[in-house]
Amino acid sequence: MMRTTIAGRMVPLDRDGVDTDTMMPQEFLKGTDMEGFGKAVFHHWRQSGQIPLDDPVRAGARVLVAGRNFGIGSSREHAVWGLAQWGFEAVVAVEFGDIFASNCVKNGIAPIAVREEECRDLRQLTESDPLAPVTIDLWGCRLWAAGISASFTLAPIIQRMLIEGLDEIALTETLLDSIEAYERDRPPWEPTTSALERGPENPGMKTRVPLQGLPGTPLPAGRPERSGTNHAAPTATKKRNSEEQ
Amino acid sequence: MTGTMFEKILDKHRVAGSGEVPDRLYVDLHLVHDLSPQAFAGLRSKGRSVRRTDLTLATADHGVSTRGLGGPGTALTNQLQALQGNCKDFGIPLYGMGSAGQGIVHVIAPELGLTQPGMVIACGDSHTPTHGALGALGFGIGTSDVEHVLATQCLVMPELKSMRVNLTGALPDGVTGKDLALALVAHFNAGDARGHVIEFQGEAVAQLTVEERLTLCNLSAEMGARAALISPDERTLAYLKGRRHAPKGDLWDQAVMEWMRTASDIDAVFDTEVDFDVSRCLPTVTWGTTPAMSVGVNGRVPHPEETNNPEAARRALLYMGLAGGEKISDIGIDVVFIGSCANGRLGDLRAAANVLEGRHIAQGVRGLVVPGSRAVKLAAEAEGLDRVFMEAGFEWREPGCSMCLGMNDDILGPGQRCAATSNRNFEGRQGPGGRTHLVSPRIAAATALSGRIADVERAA
Repeated sequence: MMRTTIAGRMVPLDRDGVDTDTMMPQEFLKGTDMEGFGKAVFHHWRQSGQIPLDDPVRAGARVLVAGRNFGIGSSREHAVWGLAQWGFEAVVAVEFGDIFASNCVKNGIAPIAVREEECRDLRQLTESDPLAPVTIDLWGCRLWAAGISASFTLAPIIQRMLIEGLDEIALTETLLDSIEAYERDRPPWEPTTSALERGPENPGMKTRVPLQGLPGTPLPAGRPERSGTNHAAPTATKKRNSEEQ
Repeated sequence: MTGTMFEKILDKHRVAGSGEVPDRLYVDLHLVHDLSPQAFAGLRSKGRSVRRTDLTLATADHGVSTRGLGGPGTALTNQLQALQGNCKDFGIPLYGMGSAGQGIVHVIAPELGLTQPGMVIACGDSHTPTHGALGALGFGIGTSDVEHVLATQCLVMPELKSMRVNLTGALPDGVTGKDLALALVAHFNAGDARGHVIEFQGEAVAQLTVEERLTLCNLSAEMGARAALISPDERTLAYLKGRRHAPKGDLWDQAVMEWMRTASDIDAVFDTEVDFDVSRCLPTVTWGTTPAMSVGVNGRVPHPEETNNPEAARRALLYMGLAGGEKISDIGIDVVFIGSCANGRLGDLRAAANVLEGRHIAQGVRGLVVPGSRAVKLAAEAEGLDRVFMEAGFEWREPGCSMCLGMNDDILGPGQRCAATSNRNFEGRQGPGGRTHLVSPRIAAATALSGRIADVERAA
């Protein structure tokens, strides 16, 4: 389904440097499915009235308008699932964290970067008139709202992702011949993880990684080898063995 | 070939696109943990398999209990059960809970020698730039991209700029790689390096141990960088040689030749150049709710109007229960956490133990040491570091991410204040309402002794 325009009301968030921990606190990351994130998004800030997502007048809004440097920190895509499940189709900010912006695009949320004063004008508009709509033209890369107009840029592939909802994995799968050709030429020394399963240290993962797995770890400068603690090694070893049995 | 290491690595991993499909980037190593079960659900729903299980390694880190197996509260979480099941079903090697190789993804891959110069590494974790310390291009990715790499071993070729951060001068005595990293995070205001892959160069880089480089590249995520790199040098090779998955014999010689060719050329042109004099770095502590909000441990918490964003500072101080203007050394601490992919390696534990040896942490302070991996834990125990910590009053735990992000039961209570060697101090990061001050391992240890944030010399 093609979508060239996002239109709807806004939610203001006058903050810089909003991190994805704040968007989706870790206590909501413990599930194994993709349900329920819309209720959890910005949980603590909603509880303390710092973002009006539960204000009835904001229900049905489509565009979050923030400040500078939105979506820093953790790569948790759960933050974006939360925004999408709440109902957002776009986030407008001055800049975005790289991983966050990438996650947005994969979930159909348009990360729209505009100038700081344009962000401020949009926030002020929706603060004074919560019903004021904004229209974002993904094809023409412009947005409009009550006398505010701004342009933005989208990389061509991002634009297609947002408009056409491309399946990136399926596209990569069309390159199978190239991938196989690439794999035939990989350097012979590059490591594989299959040896982990075969290695004698690793049957059933019961035994230890040998300590010589950590060679060359330098002692801090000026710190001598611990003379007294060499005795401790056998004790520690024994203790660990008894724990494991 | 001349150019930056970043360009060379991209070129070497380019899978040619076709028609309207842009180029892809081949991933040499995909690290998987317990926090991406939805990626496997995605594979199942489309009937896809894992393309290269032999280039994939899973471990349990984010949600594992650090109390060991079998104790109260240590039952496997839904996500850990899912990880076991998914690895079994899809044939992915797993260092599960209690296994010999288990640990934080960004700790185990370097120590196993799986992280090598010139590689592309992907992981569903934003601290994947850590691997750049050894010259590997590490990308943190979201769950959708985890699924993409599982299915195809590829990512979409990224469009990023290169940045050289030239580190001049020498770190003063008592100032660590963590302090340098926090200073750079402040320089980049917790995000201004966005859209870039940083390469750290300069005389100060040459002086850093590989473990300190891992810490520095780890914190590049907090600078906003998409990834970080350090071109391989003698220290890189000395670190790698003899590690379990490092090349051996003739292959080692071949690899070294190729690795050194991958290093940035002297005349390489970067999109952005930054010079930073490390001799002005201080032992550092964060006072706010982004890792850029930091100050020297012997200084004072700033007043909001002294900062570049007074409104943000005001809110941060409110959350942190600080007024602004107080001496850092007057800030009392409830919990000290030593661990994480930033500072959970053997050198970090040694640095902390060195401060703690023969002393005891202050009354009322809870101290927690969580080694970054089982190998780190065993190596530390072989040196007797566990006894130093326990005799000082610390709890000596099993490896995992633990209190860095509070996915297990190691969390702060509301209002509790923690000095942590991890990399994030966002609101609620270590538990709802918890307050985090990021520090180096030696400052963490000194703080535990004092009960207040303290420089090493001032520890009681």
